[in-house]
Amino acid sequence: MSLRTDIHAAFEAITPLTGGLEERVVETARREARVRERRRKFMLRLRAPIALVAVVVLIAIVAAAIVGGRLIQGWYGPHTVSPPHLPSLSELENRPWQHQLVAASESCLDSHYAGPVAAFPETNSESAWGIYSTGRFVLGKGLSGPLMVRVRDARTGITGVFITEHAAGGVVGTDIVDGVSVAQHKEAVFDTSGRPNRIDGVGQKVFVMTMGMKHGFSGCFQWQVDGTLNGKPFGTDSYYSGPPG
Amino acid sequence: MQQVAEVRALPVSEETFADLLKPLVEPGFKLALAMLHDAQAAEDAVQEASVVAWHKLGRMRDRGRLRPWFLGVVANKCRNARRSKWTAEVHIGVPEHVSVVSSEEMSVRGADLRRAISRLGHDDRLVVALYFYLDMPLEDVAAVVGTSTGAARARLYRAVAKLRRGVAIEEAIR
Repeated sequence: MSLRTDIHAAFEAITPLTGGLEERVVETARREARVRERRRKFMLRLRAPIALVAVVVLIAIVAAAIVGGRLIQGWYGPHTVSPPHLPSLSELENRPWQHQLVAASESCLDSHYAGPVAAFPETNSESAWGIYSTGRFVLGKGLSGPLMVRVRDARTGITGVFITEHAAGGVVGTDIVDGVSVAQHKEAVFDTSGRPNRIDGVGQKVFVMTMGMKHGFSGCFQWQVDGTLNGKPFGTDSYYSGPPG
Repeated sequence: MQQVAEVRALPVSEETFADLLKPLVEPGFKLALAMLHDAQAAEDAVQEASVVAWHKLGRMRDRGRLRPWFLGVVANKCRNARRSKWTAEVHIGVPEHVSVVSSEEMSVRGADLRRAISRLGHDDRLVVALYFYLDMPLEDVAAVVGTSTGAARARLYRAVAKLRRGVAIEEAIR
């Protein structure tokens, strides 16, 4: 017998009856193909929502990364605090007087201290116009920007003037003081970050200024200081009783 | 292995598919049986190949090449089936003792031959099954295997030499 015949015989010996094999195979393939087609269409329908979800997730991840990055940078990075708003001179001028005038029947409070600012009158000069008092202002810690000082008669409300160094604002008049012609300003301004007249023994800045009150003043002064303390608007007033002029 | 000329998918109706597939089931089953020596595993292989055919049929430009292409798919399924541990352990062919205890010479010769074929490598076994059992010309065998006719002939020579030492090869392969 030939090899071909032997091989045919060998495999036919183990070949079972295959009745209906063709129909069985075709039908199964057909059924399986339908299932796969349904699955494919289902996945096609899902593709758009899945893509949408993927985009949303991607955006969320990017947003989280940006926000998280900024948070981490905020935690570990150098802290940058925005500088406090420093008021202009006009803003300080527009701040109102904090207290009412002192009635004639009331006694004049005598307080040189107003928060971080202390005033110490030292010498007096007199002119045809009025009385001038030179004193020093000692500034405590925490002050920044311009510091404005205004003064008025606490009983009549007549405002005082400032001459010489640190006098600022509008000129309201002139006078001859100790033989020297001076301009009278309505306020004094200290630059707290600038160079003071001197530094006291504990490192505080000392500014020297001269204020004047017109003859006829009651002897009860009210002065008000406006500026910035620890980054916030600061304003205080104080009183000083002196001899009436 | 299979070089299928594929073009834009064309819709194939179920009737067309059935008409095209039915003539291929029997040769596919015979090939799978010769490769696996197990009727159930052979039917499974043909079944899986049929599902593949359903999806790929619409892309076939040359329907005349359907038969060798389908048999190539079946051969691949058989290769995968034999690779699985389960098939290797359970469907490895006729036990050794069959050739010893059988009283019928034909049966013994058949069992020996099947065992010898099962020991061939996949490609050798494939050319033997296609040429000797499915009676395909060498050109078609080459198309299924995916080689030239000369290469298919050379492979067949080597396979026959392994099967039966001393057999007249020229006589066997005509």
